Amino acid sequence: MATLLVACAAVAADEEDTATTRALARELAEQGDPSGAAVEYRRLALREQHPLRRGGWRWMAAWEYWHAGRLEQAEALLDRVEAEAPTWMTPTLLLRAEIARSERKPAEAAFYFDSFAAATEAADARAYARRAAIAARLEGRDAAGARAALADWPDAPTSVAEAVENYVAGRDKNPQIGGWLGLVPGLGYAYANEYANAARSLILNGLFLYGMHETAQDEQWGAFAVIAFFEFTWYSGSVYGGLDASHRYNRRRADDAAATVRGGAAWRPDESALPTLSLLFTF
Amino acid sequence: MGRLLRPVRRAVGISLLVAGGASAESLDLAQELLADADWPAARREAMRAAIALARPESERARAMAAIAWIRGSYSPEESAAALAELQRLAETAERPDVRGSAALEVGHHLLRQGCPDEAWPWLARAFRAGVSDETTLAAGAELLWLGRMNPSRWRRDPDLRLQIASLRVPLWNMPLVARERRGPPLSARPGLWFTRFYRRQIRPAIGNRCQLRPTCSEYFVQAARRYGWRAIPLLADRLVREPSVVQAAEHPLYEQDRVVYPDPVEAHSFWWAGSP
Repeated sequence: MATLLVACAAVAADEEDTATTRALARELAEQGDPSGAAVEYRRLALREQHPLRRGGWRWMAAWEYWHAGRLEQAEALLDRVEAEAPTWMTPTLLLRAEIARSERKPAEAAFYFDSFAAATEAADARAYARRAAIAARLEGRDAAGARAALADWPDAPTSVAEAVENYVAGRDKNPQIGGWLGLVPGLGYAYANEYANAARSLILNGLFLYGMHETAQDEQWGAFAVIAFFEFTWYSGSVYGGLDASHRYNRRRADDAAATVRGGAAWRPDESALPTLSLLFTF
Repeated sequence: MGRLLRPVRRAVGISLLVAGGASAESLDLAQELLADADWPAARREAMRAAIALARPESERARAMAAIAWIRGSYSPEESAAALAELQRLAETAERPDVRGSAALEVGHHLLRQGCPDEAWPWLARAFRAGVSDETTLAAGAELLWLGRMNPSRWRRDPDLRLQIASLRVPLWNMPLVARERRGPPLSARPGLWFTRFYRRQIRPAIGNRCQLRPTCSEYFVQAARRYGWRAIPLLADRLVREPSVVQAAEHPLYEQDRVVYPDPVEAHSFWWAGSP
C-alpha cells in the first residue's frame, strides 16, 4: 500500500514537473526567448513516451526555433516529427512552408503551401495557404505563377488580386544597366533609388581619385600605389553595387507585393491543446 | 523499526530513479544540443545532468559541458577557463572515453588557436586513448596532417608514427583532412592575412563598432572563403551601404547591450552565386 502511495506521489511529481516545464516554455516564448522555449519543449519531448505526444512537443520546439531564426534546427526536428508521428504531417507541411519562406526558397515554400492547402479540410486554413502560396510566388518573382494560382481561387479577396495586378503592372530595374551605370561612381546606386549610397560612393571615389592625382603629380609612387589599391576597391564596389542595388530593388518590390498579399493573415498553434496540434488562423 | 522504515527506503529509491530519469533526459538533451551547435543551451543542460549524476557518470556530462563552453566562448578568459577544465578531465577522469574526448577537444582548440606544437601531445593522448573509432580517427587525422606539415614532429614519438601509418587509408578519407588540404582560394589569402592583421592589431584599439552581422571583417572572410577575389567589391559595397542598412533598422537583433542588424553575404550574392 505504502509503495503504491509512493509510486502515485512520484507520478504526480512527474506530472507537476511536466506542467512546470510547459509553463516555463510558454513564459520564455512570451518574453522573447524562443530558443529557450524550444529547449524546454525538447525536454518535454524526451520525457514523453507516446510517439504522437512526443511529436507534438517536437513540432512546438521546431515552431519556436523557426521564430528564433534557427532554421536548420527547426527542419531537423520536423524530420523527426515526420518519422515518429506521421499524424502531424499536415501542420508539419505548413511549418515547412514557413521555414522555406524564411530561407528565401520561394518555389519550395509555394510547393509546401499548395500541399498544405490540398491536405487540410478547414476553410480558414485553406484560405491562408492559398494566400501564402501566391505571396511565395511573388517573392520568387513568378508573376505568371501567382496569376495562375489566383485564377484557381475563385473567391480570392480583391486586395490579393489588386496586389498581384499592381506587381505585374510595375517595372523592375535592369541589373545590367545598373552595372554599366556603376562605372560612373554612385550612378548605379542612384538608378536603384539608393541616393545616400550613391552620394557616399561618389565622395569616396572622388577623394581617392584626387589622392591619386596629387601623389602622381608629386611623383610619390609608393603613396600612389597604396591609394590606387584602395581606389580600385571603391571603384569595383561601385560597379558591383550598381548591379546588386538593382537586384535589391527588384527583391524589395516583390517582397512588398507579397506582404500586401499576405495582409494581416497569420496562424499559431493552440497552446491549450498541446501536445495535440491544433492551428488557429487569423485574417 | 526495519519494517517501518521500508516504505521510506522505497520512496528514496523511487525518487532517485526519477532524478536519474531527469538527469538522463538532460544528458540526452545536451547531446542533441551539442550536435545542433547550440553551445550555451548544451552547456546548461550538461551541467544540470552533471550536478544530478554521481561519479564517474557525471564526468561525461562535465566533459560535454566543457566542450560546449569552449566552443561557445567569446572571451579569452572564458576560453582559458574551459580549456583548463578540459585538460583536468583529460588527465584525471576515471572513464577512458571522457579522457579521450576531452584530450581531443583540447587538441582541436589549440589547433584553432594556431598552436600545433602544443596541440600535438593532446592529440596523441586522444589517439592513444583508443576508446572509439571516432576519437581515434579524428585525432589520427589531425596528427597525420600535422606530421605532414612538419615531419620533425614524428621524431619525438616514432611509435605513434607507426600506429598512425597502420590507419592511413581511413584517415585520408576524413572530411577534416580533405578540408584542411583544400584551404581557402589562393586569391583570397592576401585579403585574409590583412583581415587577421586588422583583427589582432587594429580592432582591439578601436573596438568592435560594426552594427551589422556578420561584422564587416567577418563578412569579408566569409566572402573571400567562398568567392576568392570577388570579396573585394562585395566588401566595398558593404562599407558604402552600412549607414543605410543601420538607418533602415530592419530585423533588429538584440546582442548583449546593443542592437545589430543582419546583412549576410548570401543576400548580396544570390543573383550570381545561386544561394538564396
